[in-house]
Amino acid sequence: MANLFEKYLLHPIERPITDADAKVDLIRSADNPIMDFFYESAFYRHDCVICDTIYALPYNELFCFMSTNNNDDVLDATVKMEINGQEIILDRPCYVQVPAYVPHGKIEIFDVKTPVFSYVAGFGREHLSTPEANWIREPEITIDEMILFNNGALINDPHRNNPCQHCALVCLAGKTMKGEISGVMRRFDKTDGWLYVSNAHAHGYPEALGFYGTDAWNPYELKGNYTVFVGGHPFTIDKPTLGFFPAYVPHCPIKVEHVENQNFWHSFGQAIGSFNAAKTLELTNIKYPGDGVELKQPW
Amino acid sequence: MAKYFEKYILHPIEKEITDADAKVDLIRSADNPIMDFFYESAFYRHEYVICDEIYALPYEEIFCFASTNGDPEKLGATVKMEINGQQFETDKNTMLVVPALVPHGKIEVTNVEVPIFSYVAGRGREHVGLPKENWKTEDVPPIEQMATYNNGPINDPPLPPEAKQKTLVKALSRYIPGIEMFTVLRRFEESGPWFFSKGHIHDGVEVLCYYGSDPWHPYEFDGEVTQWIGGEKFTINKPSVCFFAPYVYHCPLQIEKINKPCIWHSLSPVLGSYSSSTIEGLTSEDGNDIEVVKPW
Repeated sequence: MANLFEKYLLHPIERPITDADAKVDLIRSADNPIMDFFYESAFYRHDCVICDTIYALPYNELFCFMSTNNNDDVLDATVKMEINGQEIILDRPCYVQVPAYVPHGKIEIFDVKTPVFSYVAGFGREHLSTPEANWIREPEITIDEMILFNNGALINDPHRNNPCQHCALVCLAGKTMKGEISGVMRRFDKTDGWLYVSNAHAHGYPEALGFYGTDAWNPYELKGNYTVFVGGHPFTIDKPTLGFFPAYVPHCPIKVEHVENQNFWHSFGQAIGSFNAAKTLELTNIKYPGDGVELKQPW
Repeated sequence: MAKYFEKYILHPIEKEITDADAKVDLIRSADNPIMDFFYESAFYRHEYVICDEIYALPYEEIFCFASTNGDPEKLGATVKMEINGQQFETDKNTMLVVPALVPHGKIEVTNVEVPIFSYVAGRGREHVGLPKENWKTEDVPPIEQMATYNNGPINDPPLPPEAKQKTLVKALSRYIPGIEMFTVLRRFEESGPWFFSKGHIHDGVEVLCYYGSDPWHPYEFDGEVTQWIGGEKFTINKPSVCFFAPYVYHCPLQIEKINKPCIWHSLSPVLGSYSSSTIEGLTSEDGNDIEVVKPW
């Protein structure tokens, strides 16, 4: 029988694809109504127009563009985007966080020498533009402040000295980047195991943890193996997965059991706003190693 | 063709019931995966044990118990619950907020002279108890600070005078210190049209809920409400939870008519920014739907 919490581990819908397909969708909130925020991940393998219109959302939107060439400073492709009437050109792995109500769009990826992994997310359920009357034409931050490049080596990260992973992009809202969203983009390198997070916790805002392969030509393969606890129960992850953890759902520990070559891993969470007022609960009795704890429904 | 935002209007799953059934489930988040917090509503028509064990959640839990006969004070039944080893008992219309991690349970409805309407909610998606090692049994507020009773005037502002309604119980931080959710329970009496709310958006979730007050016909709502969601116009004429996910545009809201008394309640978080904005351009003068652009 399926565990109550298994529904929070989401996988790509595996569609027939050919090498000629420019974009391969991975995991999308539109396919998973259980997700309470907007999220889409994809590989871009050839030139592609992501969006040909200008729009403004009522919430911050975070774009991540990451190289699949094991280089955190060279994207091997070019991303073009318009933000508040200005065109920006990006040829390095980066986060772009566009503030709420700021018009942006006309997003295009071209000169693709090596495929790009990307995810886009924001804390509204619907990815719909507000009418133009609501758009903000004079944002409080500059466009430069909306963009973050490789800063992994600069951040005091508890896993920085682990040779089996490295941080590429660390977006800590209000610290390394302005905005309401936090996210970290890492590569997990070849390994036969290490403990990433030792205890379970829960918090008052939703969070997502993404596990993806780095081979854009085999997009539905992870070639890695992880143990991730959700709701006190250990699950094995061995295919591309987004662990979606709604508010107050206990999650972790995480053990990286095995990575054959290289994996992408990213987090995504809300740093400010109405869902972040309650503090994190550390659940020290759900830990690795262990068989887990059964959390019971009272009625 | 179904409208895009229709998915946010939830209804009871109508099951075969007899008058002997003590509990009639109305709308439950467990049946509606789109809901991102725990919610259950029900009528209790006879004595019933809601829960026979003790548990503690990682979030605060709100219980509401209200009369179905419109009595602003008396519940018409007795509710018992154990909270942190102490017995709580009430025979009034009540909202009870149990703080996160505080053990509670053994919940029972007895002495049912009048059926009661009830809902239970909390900001966590899953309604599962945490292991005992996480329970909070010390520095817990006194039980009397967790409950509030009839605290609404018969026609409280800002609703217009043509709104024939009674506010039975409100759980606000001025009545229950430190609460994370905000909820108001009203009874709408027979009335013609009145305007309830302008269109807006906020970063926290909210529900607006419509139920009949006749527990022997639990799937009836004898009224009509016009509710706009995401620029689309909907008519509500059966029991419904309108679930507004964060940043989903909602309202205006117009009560068109109420033919028989009904129960209405709201529920939303109060902690954090919960910033609310008016959104321009989401209603049309001719009352038609507005098409909202999906960028890709």
